[in-house]
Amino acid sequence: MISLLFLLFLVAMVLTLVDKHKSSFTVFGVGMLLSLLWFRYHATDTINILL
Amino acid sequence: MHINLFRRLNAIGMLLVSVVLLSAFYGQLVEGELPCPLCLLQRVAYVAVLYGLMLNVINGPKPSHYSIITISAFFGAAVSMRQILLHIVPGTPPYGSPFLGYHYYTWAFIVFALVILGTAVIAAYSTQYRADHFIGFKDHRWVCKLAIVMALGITAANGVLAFVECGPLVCADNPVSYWLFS
Repeated sequence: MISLLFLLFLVAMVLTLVDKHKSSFTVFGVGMLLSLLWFRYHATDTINILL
Repeated sequence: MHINLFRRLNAIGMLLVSVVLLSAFYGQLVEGELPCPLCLLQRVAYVAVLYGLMLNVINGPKPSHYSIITISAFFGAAVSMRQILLHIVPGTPPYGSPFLGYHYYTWAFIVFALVILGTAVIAAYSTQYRADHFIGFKDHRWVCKLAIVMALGITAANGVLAFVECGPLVCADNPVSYWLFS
């Protein structure tokens, strides 16, 4: 799954390089959304600290 | 200031972020410290910062590109802060070896904070937004070409290493061996 995130950002970079600006932004947005979901998946434990 | 100077400054930023990711490769491949899922997510955030910087180098500086850099660095700071808080609890051992007194996730938080600060400063120069046009790879100066090639190579290498370590599914919370070799 995490390798898919790197792949998405690599695709976004390549699209920028070939002047596909809008497609690049879309792929970046999907990558960032999935990254947030993956962060949420890995950050569920309660931390016993007082803030 | 000359407009192309800002493309070069962004390229230098790309090279600096690439050096941070190369140091993470050194820790993984030479010292044998496998990155945890949150460590890998911090690398994802570095790659997203690289993407924003690359937009400025290739298409010219734009406020939206600086927003992408800031959002990506903010995401990375959130992930590294989560990991700092996990290990700040008494009785919770740190993850990995320290470097100059701090662990990788603490350095990551400092770097992401510096990226946000640097972006806020450089984005304030309005003269850079006058010539936002696409420049093909072969027409760039050597420093920009080097930064682009390094960013693409490091992103691809991160993807391969993440697959070798975690496989196609979920990465172990405390990885001790590579998924591909076990």
